Amino acid sequence: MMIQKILSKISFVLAVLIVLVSVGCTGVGIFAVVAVSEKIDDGLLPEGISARPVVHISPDVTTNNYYFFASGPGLWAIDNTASSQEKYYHWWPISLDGWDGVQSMAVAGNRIFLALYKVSGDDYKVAIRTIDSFVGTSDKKIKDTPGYTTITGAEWILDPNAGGYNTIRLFAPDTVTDDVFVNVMSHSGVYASLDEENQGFTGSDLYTLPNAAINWTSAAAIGDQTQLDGTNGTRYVTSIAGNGAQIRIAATNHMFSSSGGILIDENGTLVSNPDGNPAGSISLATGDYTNTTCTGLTWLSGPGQFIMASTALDNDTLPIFVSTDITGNTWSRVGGTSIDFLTTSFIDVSGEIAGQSDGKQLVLAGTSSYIDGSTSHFGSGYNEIDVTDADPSTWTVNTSWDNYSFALNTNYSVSDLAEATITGMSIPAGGSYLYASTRSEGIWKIDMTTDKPSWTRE
Amino acid sequence: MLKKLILLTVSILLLNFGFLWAQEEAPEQGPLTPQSRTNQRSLGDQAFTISAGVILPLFTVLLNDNPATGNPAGVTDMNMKKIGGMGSLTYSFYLSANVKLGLQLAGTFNWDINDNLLYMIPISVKGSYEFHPYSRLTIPVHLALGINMTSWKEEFTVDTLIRPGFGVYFDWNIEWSFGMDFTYWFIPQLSSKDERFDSLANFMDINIGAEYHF
Repeated sequence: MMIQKILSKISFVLAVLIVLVSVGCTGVGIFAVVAVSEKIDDGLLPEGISARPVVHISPDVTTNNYYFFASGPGLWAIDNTASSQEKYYHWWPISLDGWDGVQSMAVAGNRIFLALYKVSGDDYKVAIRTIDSFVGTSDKKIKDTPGYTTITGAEWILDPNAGGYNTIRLFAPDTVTDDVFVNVMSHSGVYASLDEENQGFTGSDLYTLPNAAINWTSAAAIGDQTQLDGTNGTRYVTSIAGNGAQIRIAATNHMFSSSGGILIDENGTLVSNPDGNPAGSISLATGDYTNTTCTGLTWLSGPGQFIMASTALDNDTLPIFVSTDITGNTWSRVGGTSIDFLTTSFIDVSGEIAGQSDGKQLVLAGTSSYIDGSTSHFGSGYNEIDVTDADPSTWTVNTSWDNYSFALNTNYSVSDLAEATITGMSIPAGGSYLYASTRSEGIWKIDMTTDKPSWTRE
Repeated sequence: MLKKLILLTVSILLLNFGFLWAQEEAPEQGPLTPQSRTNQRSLGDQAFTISAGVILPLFTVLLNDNPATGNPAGVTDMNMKKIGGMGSLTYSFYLSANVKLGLQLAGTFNWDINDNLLYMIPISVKGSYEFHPYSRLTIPVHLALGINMTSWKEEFTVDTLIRPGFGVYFDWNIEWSFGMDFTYWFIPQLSSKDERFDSLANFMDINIGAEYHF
């Protein structure tokens, strides 16, 4: 009798377990994926390094040989002409010319614009410098110093008497003039950390700095600052993109706000809404709009549309928005997004061979970690957006890596890139390699000229 | 997936009925039967086993060609470290002097070639037939059927599990036995969304165990 009872209990427990755990299956054949997966080398960059996008300038034939990236407290370079087999093919840190770190970085024309900061005790200052040339040496025991140019007067110092300090965000969306947009954020209190970009935020101003400028007096405030400086709202710029004719600026009062986000143009004017919805809002249809905070605003030259992503929940998802009229006035919500993925960067690879073997033209959407209340969501590499159809309203996001088309799945799926927060993606010098920069997982590179290429770690 | 669930549930229930029948066939092995050997067991005896050891990836059988990766169907390396770790807990009770039935919870860990951790947590019903060639030596031959939960990166699957094996145990005294088990793992992973990734996974484990009889 006892045995019968025990057997019945075992049967019941097992049956319940089978049903319960089966519900959580992700449907991926793990053993087969592992069996066919590629070995990925660890790369040569220090473990755990966080990086901003890889950039390139070509002011002269020597500088043309190098790629650069910033890692917060460091600036790195690599001789891209060296063969990957050569001992000189590796990234090495270069001098910040006495500054402690890079607060922001943008490339326009043949100049790298840097917002460099320095902290000493209670003192803090930030200034804009440019790199206009670089000559690397073979002796890597000495940090090479790029050719820095000071933008005279572009320096902001902690002013306790004024009750605050400034941080700088640089953007280079204007491919026609190569002017740089400088968002000067004001904060109350004492400078503490860069972790909270809007800590003590009290308002901002937005300037355009001519590409060739060497003096801050050349900078011009955009026509209407009232949406930023506290007059009609206290906001800062999350991202800027331009298509050669229009410039669209996404601004918000808080990164995760669902009501403070707006779109303005290069003059600071709220972008008009053809659906009759409030100017500056993101239009989904007549009477259906959102002021959710958006970031990652990018011009996709292939499909010919703007794209950006919400950092705040809207109808229980973190949507991606794509313009449907080229100008960035009317927008549509891309299908397939969910709360699981916070998208913060985009790159257009629709014209590349990689991915096209599946008959798809793609845009990659880099994801980021975030905290939703008490729930932590981790970065998840990139998602793929199929932009083959010219009508953006039909686009959907593919978040299932086993159906990805861009890279070799047995490479990407087993890489740390697939679980990383992507801080930016770039194609330096318009070349054939795409670089994905990550938080804590270094930099990854892929050759887009081949079918189903593999990611390698730098 | 539904078929798999039904198959597993039916299998467990069949095991249940089978052993009920066996219970009627061995009345002479009652709990009051005097013991003449250290390893003599009888109906109603129970045992608890704790084991630790290693798990060895053997090979994977890909069931379909995968044009995307260039891998043909067939046997291939598992692309995992040669040795992983394993531990298990088993509760058993004797249906006769030589037959025992138990529930086993185990856990394993290993790494793929890119150092991504792969966990397996099998839960299985384990039937054993014990040979007693000497008074203090027990050789169990066992078969475990159950489910295997596998976690790797962000993926999670539940599959059926078949684990035949054998062991060698020295019976230290009436209560304690110490020995080793050698078990083969057969995991048909047939439920992936993409049939290119259906496979048969094969492992072997070697464990040392301590078994307490009560």
